[in-house]
Amino acid sequence: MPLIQFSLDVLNNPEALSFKFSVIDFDVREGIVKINVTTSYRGRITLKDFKIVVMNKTLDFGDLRPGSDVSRILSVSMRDVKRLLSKGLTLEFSINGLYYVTITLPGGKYSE
Amino acid sequence: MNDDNRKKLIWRIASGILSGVIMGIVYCVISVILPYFIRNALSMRYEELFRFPYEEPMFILFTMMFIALGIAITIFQKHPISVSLRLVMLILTIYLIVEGMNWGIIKTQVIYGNQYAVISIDVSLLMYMLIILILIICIFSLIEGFTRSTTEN
Repeated sequence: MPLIQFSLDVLNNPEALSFKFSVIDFDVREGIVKINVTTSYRGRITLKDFKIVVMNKTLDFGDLRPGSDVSRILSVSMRDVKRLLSKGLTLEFSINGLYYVTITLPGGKYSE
Repeated sequence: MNDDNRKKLIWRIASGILSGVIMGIVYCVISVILPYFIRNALSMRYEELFRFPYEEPMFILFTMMFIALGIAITIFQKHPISVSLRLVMLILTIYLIVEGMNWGIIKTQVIYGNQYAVISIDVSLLMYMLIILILIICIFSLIEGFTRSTTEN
C-alpha cells in the first residue's frame, strides 16, 4: 500500500523529505527578499501536487518524483523574514491522487 | 420424535450456531479489527499494529453483539425477522467502520527532525471502499434471507 510505504520511508529516513531555504536576492529599495526553497525527495512513492504553504503563500512544486530536487522562489518582505522561520509551514500533497496528506511543521529550526 | 430426527435437529442447531459464530467473527474483523489496523498503520503506531484492543470493554461488547446477531440470523434464517437482523448488522458494521476510521480523516503526531509534525491523512476513499464491500456482502445476504423467508412462507 503506497500510503504505508511513504510513511515507512519518512519514518526510517527523516531526510527522505527535506527542505532548504536560501536567500538568493535582496532588494533594499523595495524591501523584498527572494528566497530559494528547495525540496529534496528521496522516498519511493511519487507525491502528486506537492505544495508548501508558508505565511499564507502557496508554492506549487507539481509532482515530486523519487530522487528529485525541485526549487521555487519565494518573495517576502524584509520584516517577514524572521517570521518565516518561526511561523512553521504546511505541506500538502496526494499519494497516487487517492490519499490527501497534510503535514504541519511547527516553526523554529529549519535553517541556519 | 425419533432418534434420527433428533440428531438432525441437534446437528442443524449446532451448525447454525457455528456458522453464526463464524459470521459474527467475519463481521467483527471487517468492522472493528480492520479499521483499527488501518488507523494504527497510518498513524505510524507500528508497535501497536497487531495489538488489538481485546481488553477494551467496547471491543468485547461489539464482538459478542456480532456473534449473537450471527447466531440469531442463522437460527431464524427462514423467518422474516432475519432480514431485520441483517439490516441491524449492516448499520452497526457501517457505523463501526466510519467511527473506527475517524470519519475518513486520520490525524497523528510524529517526530520530524527534532520537532513534532502533525500529519493529517484523508482516507475517505478507503473507508468508502470498505463500506461498499460490506454493502455488497449485506445485499447478497439480504436477498438470500428474503428469498429463504418467502419460499418458506
